[in-house]
Amino acid sequence: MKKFMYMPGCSLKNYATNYEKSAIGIAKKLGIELVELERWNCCGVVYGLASDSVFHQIAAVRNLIRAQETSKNLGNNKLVTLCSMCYQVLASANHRIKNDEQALEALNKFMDEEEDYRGEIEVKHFLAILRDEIGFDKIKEKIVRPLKNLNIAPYYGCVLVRPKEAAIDDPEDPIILETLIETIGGNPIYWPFRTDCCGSYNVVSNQDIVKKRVWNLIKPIRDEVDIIITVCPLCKFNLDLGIDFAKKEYYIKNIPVLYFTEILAYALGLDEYLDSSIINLLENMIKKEEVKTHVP
Amino acid sequence: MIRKIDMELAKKVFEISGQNVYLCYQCGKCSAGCPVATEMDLLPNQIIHMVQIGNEKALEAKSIWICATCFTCSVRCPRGLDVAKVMEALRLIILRRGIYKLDLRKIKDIDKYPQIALVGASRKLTG
Repeated sequence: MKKFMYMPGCSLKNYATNYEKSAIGIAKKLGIELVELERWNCCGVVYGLASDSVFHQIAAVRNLIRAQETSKNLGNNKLVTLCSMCYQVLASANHRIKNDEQALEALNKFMDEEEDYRGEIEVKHFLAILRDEIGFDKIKEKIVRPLKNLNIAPYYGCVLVRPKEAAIDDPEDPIILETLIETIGGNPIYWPFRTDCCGSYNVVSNQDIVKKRVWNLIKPIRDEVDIIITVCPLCKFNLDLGIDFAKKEYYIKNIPVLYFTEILAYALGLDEYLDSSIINLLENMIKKEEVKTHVP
Repeated sequence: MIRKIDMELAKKVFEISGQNVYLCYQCGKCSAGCPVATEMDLLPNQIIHMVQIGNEKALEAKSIWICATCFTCSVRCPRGLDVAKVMEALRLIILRRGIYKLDLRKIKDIDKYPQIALVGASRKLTG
């Protein structure tokens, strides 16, 4: 079993526990072990863009130092994240200090109680691990319950594919989630707004922006879509909020928003890692599609 | 007579973000792709133009706080200007003066938000 370091981040430990549970199940099934970092801290959620200060990189680099300590015993320098915010912050901070000796020196001096960070850690998103380390064709062989005929819309959000230096796929035309949906037997629908922003942390300061944003996002797909899948706990929160709003305001049907790991875990038959409500939801949807396409 | 433009604001932005706003030739690609442009009082390209001519009103715009740093403008700019970094620099000019745009005590039902939303907002809207 290949071991990877794993950084959960704050939301996965209470808001998005389903996300973490299903991902751990998938990893086990596919022969990898996610070793949680000891004493990880919040990554900071948003990457600090100021180039005259390294203040906002401290939280991220502290996690990278934790990873560096762990990697010695593990013999693997890849740090896996699930939350796309964590991914972007860690990957961008890592990219910056690898190319900015001054910043690295300042950070190492500031955190003199820690060992020096040497820039050897590689930050990887779990999706990229599925694609690069395991391969979607290998995953396909293990599918036991394909999500036949379900119209699944992939939602990338912003930070998984942007900025360029921390993108896991093409910033304008990513395909990794569509490939995953095809792998598990679903029908990926073309969604022009799949990489548009959901409004992000504006939900705290100005909720109306997020509601309108999400309504505009789902407008072109609202009738044909069965499920939206997402990678980020904040996207999930905002999409749920916006869909609730659109249901009341524009009488659209309910669109469940799931994490990509949940549908993958379902397709792999990992019931023990899923909530019963999600199993029921997916079972009913698949049955409904079977009835629709049934030719007597 | 040729009027000299005030470059102080552009210099300040360059100091903070490393971005040269004079790269911008006002094609408007950033505003065309911006997902929250409809909510903004000044469009991203207008903000950039104001910084170019040293108009301090750019700092009073609501737009810089509505920008959610989604990097759509940054990956699309044909001149390679990282617009998201310019927006961040303008925010930081205000935040470093000690003026904050979010008071967590005034938020209703704060416990219904996931941490990721609260931490993100605090990091962007307070110093």
